[in-house]
Amino acid sequence: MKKIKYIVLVLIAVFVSNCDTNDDGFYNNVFIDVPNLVFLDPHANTYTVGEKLFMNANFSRYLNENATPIDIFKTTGATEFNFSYVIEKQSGSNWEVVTVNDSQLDIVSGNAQNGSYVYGFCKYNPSDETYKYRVGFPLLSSGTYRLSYGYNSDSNTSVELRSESPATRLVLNINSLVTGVDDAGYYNFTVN
Amino acid sequence: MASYAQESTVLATKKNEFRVDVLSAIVDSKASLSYERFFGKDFSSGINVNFSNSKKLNNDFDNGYRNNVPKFEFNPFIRYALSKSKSRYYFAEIFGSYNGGDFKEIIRLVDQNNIGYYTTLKSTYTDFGIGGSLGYKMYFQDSIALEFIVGFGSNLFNTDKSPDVISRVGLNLGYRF
Repeated sequence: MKKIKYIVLVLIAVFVSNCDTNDDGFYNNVFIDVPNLVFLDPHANTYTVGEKLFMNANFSRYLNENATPIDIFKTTGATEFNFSYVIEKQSGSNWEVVTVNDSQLDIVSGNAQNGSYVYGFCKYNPSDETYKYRVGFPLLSSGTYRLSYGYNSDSNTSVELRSESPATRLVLNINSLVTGVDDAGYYNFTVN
Repeated sequence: MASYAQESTVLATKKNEFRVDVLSAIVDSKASLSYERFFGKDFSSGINVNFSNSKKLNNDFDNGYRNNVPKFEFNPFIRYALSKSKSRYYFAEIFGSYNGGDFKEIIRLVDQNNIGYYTTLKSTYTDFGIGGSLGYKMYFQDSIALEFIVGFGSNLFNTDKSPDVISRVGLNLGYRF
């Protein structure tokens, strides 16, 4: 019985000593606002089956933060910024996420993965000091579609780009207002 | 009954105790030493000194999962024994804490080309805190002490940089003389 008492004491001590009493949080985050970093190819809202919906990003390492320049590469050391968007198709009164194989994505620059959303990576090009993304999403069947950026963003009308920073470097979160979406944050289009 | 009385008498003649926290040494890479002086029947006081260089805490600090990392603590305390037995008893204590360590904050700088960038600035902090603890102590062979203590407190003056909460948790092995 005494042994059990001592074992319980030691276990409680180990448990309590592992309770982190420091304030919770992630302290390497920086947040800035820079509009219009991500955009669709200019196009009428009607597409034809077999066409691709091209998403783009093309921004310099030097951005304007409240009218003053900021070097995002020097801040983060990141060679990639990620962001996400979702393409849905109307099915009756419901909206269903449209997925394709990654191999069906037309990756011109950057990289992308497709699952419940398209996970895009803007890649840094040291020669012209810009981050680039251009990926075409194949529209394989006719119907009513919509695209939104809010999956990983707090706002409907903006997209959050997050730096893929090395372990000990700052992580930069760029909140970027997008154009061409309605108040609910959707770009609505039709495929015939 | 005779044995209990004899044990209590022997312990009552021994007024000093040194302890080392074996749990903190193993789990947190923290050197934690304590001295306690016994007064009268139920009261004692002492000081606990900690120096920490935990690899886990340093990594969390570098990787941004915490913005401060404690390095040292000086914790004076006053204790009151809650049980009648001198060889096995519960106790309560209040403690003060002078503590310090490293602190990190994000700042915006401008380079020689007048282009801004964010970076982290490391500095140090110190603060004073106060708290309370409860514990259980037992003696073997009238000299060897085993003590379990759990306590928490708050820093008071510099919590923009120092941790809001300070803890005093340990499994101490000691010698009373």
